[in-house]
Amino acid sequence: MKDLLKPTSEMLVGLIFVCVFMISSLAVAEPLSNPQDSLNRIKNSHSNLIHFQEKPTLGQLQLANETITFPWASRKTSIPLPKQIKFIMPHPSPSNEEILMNQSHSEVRLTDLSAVNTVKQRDLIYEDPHDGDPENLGLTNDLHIGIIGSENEPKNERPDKMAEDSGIEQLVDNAFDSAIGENAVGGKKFSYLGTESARNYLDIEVSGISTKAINTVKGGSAIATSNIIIKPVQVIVCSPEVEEKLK
Amino acid sequence: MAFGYVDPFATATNNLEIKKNQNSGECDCCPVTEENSESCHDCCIKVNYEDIKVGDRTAMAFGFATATNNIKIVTNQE
Repeated sequence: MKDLLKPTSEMLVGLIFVCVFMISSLAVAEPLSNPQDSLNRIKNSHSNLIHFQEKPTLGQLQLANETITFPWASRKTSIPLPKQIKFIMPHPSPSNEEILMNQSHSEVRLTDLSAVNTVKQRDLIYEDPHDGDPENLGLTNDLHIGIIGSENEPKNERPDKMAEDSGIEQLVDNAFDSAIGENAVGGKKFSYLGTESARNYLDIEVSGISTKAINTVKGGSAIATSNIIIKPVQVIVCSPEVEEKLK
Repeated sequence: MAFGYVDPFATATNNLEIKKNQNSGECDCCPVTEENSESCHDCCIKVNYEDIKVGDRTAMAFGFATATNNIKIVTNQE
């Protein structure tokens, strides 16, 4: 008899265990059964993700009931604004350039002088005395000094167009040049105006010099200075030998 | 040209200074006397010719800035 009841009791115990398991699983699954709640949870997680980008909480782990802060959370990653500006705005060091000219180096082309948030100075100096060309018994001084900036770059214009725009000044210059010959050897203008025995010829041209100073930082400054100093001296002194020949 | 937007301080200056000194003075290398007054002439007739052209210049300052263009030409011919 006992042997007959043993399988029945085991089946009853197994049935009760299954029932208890099913009831407990239903009780756990009940909160997730509402689809609206699930949707709200997803929305909340997305909004947290978006707000995370706006207000970074680096080094913090948000849990349901508490917030864990890691040691490296207090490290600042943002840079103060003035330092950022320093990285963005160029701050070149101040410069002072000096260009010396002389008779053999009498023509230069200059670029624009631009100082952006800095101090720049450029000095161009010509100080060279002439005491007469020895090839011509010391009786001539011919000198051309040309300082041309970048604003006067040669343009590709038609010759007839240039002639129209030259104006009366150019006409006068051309008329005067016709009275002055061209030295075939040196290419320099060689005057023989009348019956002079000695001459000082000086041709100075300065044009297109551009200077710019730009300050883009509040509280900063920018200075651009271009100095061009031309002091030529031409002196002809008649030596006694030359005077005798000229008599 | 000057523009000041941060502080009202932007200066652009163009200075030009030309000083000339030409001396074609008479050279009395041949003293004039009664005997040679007709044949004697100035042996140092001298021509001083200068052609100085200063063209376009530009000085621009933006913001708290100063731009200066100085050109000084001093010639001396004797």
